[in-house]
Amino acid sequence: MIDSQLIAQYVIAGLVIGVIYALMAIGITFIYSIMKMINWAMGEFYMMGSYLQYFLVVHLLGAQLWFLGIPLAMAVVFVLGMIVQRYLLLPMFVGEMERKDEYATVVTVALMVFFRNLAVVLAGPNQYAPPDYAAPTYIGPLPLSGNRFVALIGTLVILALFYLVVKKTWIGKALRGAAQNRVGIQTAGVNVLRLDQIAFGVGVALAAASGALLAPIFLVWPENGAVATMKGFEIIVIGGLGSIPGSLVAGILLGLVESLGSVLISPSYKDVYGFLMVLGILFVRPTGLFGEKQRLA
Amino acid sequence: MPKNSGNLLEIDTVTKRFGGLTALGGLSLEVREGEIHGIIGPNGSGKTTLINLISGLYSPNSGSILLQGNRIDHLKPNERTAKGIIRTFQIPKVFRNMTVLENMLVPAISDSQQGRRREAEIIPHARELLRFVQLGHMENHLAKSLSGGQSQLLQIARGFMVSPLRLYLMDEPFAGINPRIKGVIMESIQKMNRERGITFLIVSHEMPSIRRLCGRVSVIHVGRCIAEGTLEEVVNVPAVIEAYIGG
Repeated sequence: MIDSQLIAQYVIAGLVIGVIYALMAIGITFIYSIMKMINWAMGEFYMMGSYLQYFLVVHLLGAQLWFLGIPLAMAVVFVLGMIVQRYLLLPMFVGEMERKDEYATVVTVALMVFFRNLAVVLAGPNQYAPPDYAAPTYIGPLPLSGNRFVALIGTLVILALFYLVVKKTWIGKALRGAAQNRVGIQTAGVNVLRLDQIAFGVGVALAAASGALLAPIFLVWPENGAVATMKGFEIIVIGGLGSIPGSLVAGILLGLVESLGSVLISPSYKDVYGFLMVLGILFVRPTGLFGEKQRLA
Repeated sequence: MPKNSGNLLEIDTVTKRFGGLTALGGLSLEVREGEIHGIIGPNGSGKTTLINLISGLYSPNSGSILLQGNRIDHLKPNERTAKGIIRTFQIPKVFRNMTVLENMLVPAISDSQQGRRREAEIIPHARELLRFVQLGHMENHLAKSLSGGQSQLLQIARGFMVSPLRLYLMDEPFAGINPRIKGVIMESIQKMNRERGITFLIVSHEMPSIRRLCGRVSVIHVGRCIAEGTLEEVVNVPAVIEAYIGG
């Protein structure tokens, strides 16, 4: 007989990690929805976020001011993302080359290798951990790691801000327009290449936020973004590529399936449960839960 | 030096190739300020390629495109819109998950500061245009709920939100549209031409609509302009008869 309190604890753990996974997935899907390309270096921007957070908290701000590190890490990665887009990706999108997105995607694969190795060169292969953000806490009678609680609240705040910008501002309207019809927005007079730059900056800043929030839990090392990227891709297949609500729902589902699978079956196969869900969704609904079929002609 | 020829748009020996296929082979065309100019021609003659070149989705391999005597063929699509060129597509490019009213506001984003400042002013203007094209009652509906004809109306009305608007390019605006909506489209073209002095370049297979709207018509065949004049004049040109019927 499995203790109901234990189940409740795993449900909460699943919800928490699911929301945090979703942040990464939303970054991937946001970039895809505007630029129609997959950023394979997403995990490396997550990794940069974690390194920046570690550096800021340990060497500049101090443990008390850890919460300032997160927006600072996001801002630095946002600017870096804009620079990468401007000088490495934008040249792939000008001119009349066919399948521009594929050339840009290959550039991101190269960036993944480059940034990972750059991290090894600059910081070595070691693992670092910033000090804990908060002491363990309780949700009702259930205990929860303080770091996970902080990551959950931080993610919810960032998602709320992201939602407000996309829904309520002019730039948000332009981004939604570009996501829904890239040619239509260009011929309505909007500079879509400028929107690409903003979208790429925002998307990688979300990855950096994930990295910074999760630094005390999953630690700081050159390849720490790989797992987050994999989860991000699982989520966008489940939720539907290009759908932001889909990423949130799928993130929570993935978190719950992994967590409950661990307690009800075995924790050894945690990653397998997520992949089984991906296969199931692909079988039943290939466009994902919230994905729409695209009209190609 | 800009030339002052009285033409709004001048297309000078423009060539556009796609690999081995020459879609336009040295096409020249002039559109006068304030006219409604029709483009007709058999399928595959290069009409949509021409619209894509003028609106900036394609760049020509050679030749030049001038608006009011100034070359525009190096400009990006949004930069051409800023010069007063807007276009529609045969399959309407509406923003499906935005409301009809939100769709109307998209051109204002092209200068976001201006858009923010003028929001109070542009929303009434957008509503007025929606009423004019008989979509006023649907302003809060999502664009994906519109029929094909209503989407075409929305796309056309959205173009009228651009200011200044000098040249309106329309690609098959009447294709697959019911007669009532066709009437609304024609009425809006005539009104905007009359009242705002907007020049129109309309690609269409619909001869009755072209006859009613267009003072001058150019006929395109295998990437070249083979005749120009009123519809009555061009349909009697032997080369045009041969292009349509085959030789």
